[in-house]
Amino acid sequence: MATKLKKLNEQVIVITGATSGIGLATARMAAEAGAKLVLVAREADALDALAHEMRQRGAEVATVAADVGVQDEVAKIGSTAVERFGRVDTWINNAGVGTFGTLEQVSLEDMQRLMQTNLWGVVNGSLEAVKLLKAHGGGALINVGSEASDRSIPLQGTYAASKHAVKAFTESLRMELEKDNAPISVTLIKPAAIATPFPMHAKNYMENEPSLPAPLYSPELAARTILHAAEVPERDLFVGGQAKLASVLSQILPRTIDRFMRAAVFKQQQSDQPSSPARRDALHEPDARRELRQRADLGKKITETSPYTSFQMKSAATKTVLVGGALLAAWALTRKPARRIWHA
Amino acid sequence: MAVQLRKIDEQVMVITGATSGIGLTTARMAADQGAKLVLAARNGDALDQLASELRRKGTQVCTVAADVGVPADVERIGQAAMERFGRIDTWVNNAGISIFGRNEDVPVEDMQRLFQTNYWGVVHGSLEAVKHMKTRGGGAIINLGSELSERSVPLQGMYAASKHAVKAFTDALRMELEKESAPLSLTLIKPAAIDTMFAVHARNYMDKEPALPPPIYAPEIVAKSILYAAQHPKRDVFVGGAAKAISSSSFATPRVMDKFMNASMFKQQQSDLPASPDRRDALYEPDPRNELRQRQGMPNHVAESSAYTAVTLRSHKIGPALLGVGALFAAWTLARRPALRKAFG
Repeated sequence: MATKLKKLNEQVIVITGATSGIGLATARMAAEAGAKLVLVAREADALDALAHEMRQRGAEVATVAADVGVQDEVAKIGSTAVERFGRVDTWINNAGVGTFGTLEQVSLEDMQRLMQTNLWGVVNGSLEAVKLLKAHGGGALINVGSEASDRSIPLQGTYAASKHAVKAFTESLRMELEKDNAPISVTLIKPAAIATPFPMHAKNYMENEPSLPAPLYSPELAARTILHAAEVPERDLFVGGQAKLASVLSQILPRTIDRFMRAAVFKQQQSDQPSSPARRDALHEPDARRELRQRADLGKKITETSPYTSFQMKSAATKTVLVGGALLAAWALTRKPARRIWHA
Repeated sequence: MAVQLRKIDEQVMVITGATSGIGLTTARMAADQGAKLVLAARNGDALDQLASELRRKGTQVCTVAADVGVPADVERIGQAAMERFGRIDTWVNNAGISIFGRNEDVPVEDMQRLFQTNYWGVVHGSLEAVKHMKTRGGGAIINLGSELSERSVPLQGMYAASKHAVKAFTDALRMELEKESAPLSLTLIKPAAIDTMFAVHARNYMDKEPALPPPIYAPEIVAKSILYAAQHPKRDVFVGGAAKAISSSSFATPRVMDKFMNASMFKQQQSDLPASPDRRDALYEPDPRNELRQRQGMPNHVAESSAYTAVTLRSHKIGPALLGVGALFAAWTLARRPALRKAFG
């Protein structure tokens, strides 16, 4: 992809799901970096509060209350961006929801709603983005997948299916745009477990409150990764070395990972607290009580940095030197001292 | 998976999409081997015709006109099976449809219709199967994925997305059922390009008629794989060495695969014929003019057997990973060399 991307402080960036978790962290980081923002979420009050916070620090922000699952509402995002800023440079499809429970437990209606946001939201957003990016000199389309794009998980089957579908859709769109020589970089971000309100916003069918398997990474790490892809064309980026590890192991040892998940992941996705009957979630409607939180405390350590994640974002030259150096060191360590044994 | 599965001639098998292509081939093969069948498709007339044909040869058949995208229809399939035969041993979620065209050219409603059949149809069928089979001695649930469950392709983006989603759903369901030690085997079948009515039934947004990229395999190979998985628990089955080759290469070198596909898949998924203005497809409704055909009859060579699939169905110890190289070679030679094609085929 020989696409040239602008520096963040020259960009107009659309971010969906901007009022929580990864989207919120990315929006704040992009505002710090001087980007102009078009922030999207379902809940207008939360958007207004966020825009106000950012404008106080000098950021230029437009907001669009929209459900990404509705194509007409996504068209409004595009038209707002063009009206306000004249163009879009980067479009980040980040809005996503979850359900926790077995496939036999979760209602079809809830599964369909999840798919409407996680897959159709990305389809609607990507097609709108491509139209705008093509019309205004190109840019970056960044879709947030998951490590669950590469490997399914029990108790989050529909979520994994939606993220698998996002991966395939993004991949086919990328090839088609490259065939056209469109100046658009298409990136799939695949985060490992991130410490956001995702489990609290998810609809829960389990006896206990949802949790996520350790290691948990910070939403800021995800934001840094996403914003890197806004400036440097990348095909795929994992967030968290665990995500890459899970992906590789699943490809070469699928049954082993099945057994590992059976033994560990059912437990790791449930906290010690029983699920409250009055529990609210954000599957069908936003949860106004829980807006504007980047992080959530799941009672587990949060990893702020990830050597693997940083490694991915280094230049090809640097990667070659690092990998070459590592291989050389490994070779040197395994060499036995030269010794000649003469046989009569 | 210590699941016990019966021999085909003792089985009651449900097959969706039974009036065309892979489903039709599997139904006929299963009937020959003595299975009792519950056949589902949207077109009641085609089902009746197929049922008469099979009954004349002594098969016990019950038919259900159903759209797998509609949960109530799929419940009727389960009920019909239980009322007629008292149990279900194997449920094959096979019904599927495609759309050819660039993502930017395909209306989102059509994409959603495709997803309703290919993904939600599998969800409805699998959950209905689990309901009837989990506590009644178990059996096999066999879901049709695709090589496009592992790797996407231009011009069939939503088809690939639906097959990726089917894989994830099947993998999650399998883990959840294994956690409960349910006596159910979950298999994902991943065929390469198969000579069926797939390209004829697909909706088309390209300038030319759809085509499939070689190597193309016979539907009988898929049917044999399905019937094998109905009797021997298998996690996944690639049908056609090319399917495994695409999967492994895509994982190892995705950028190379991007470039390879752009160089070949635009041409190979379009035939020489211009898209017909009177073209009918089966996306929203079945196409009665093109029912009960196993194969399209493609102008390209169709491989009647797959060395890769034959070996992987039988071996337990040999890692398919070791055969990756052999699969690449087999696919290449099948597509290129007449003499070697004869030796392998």
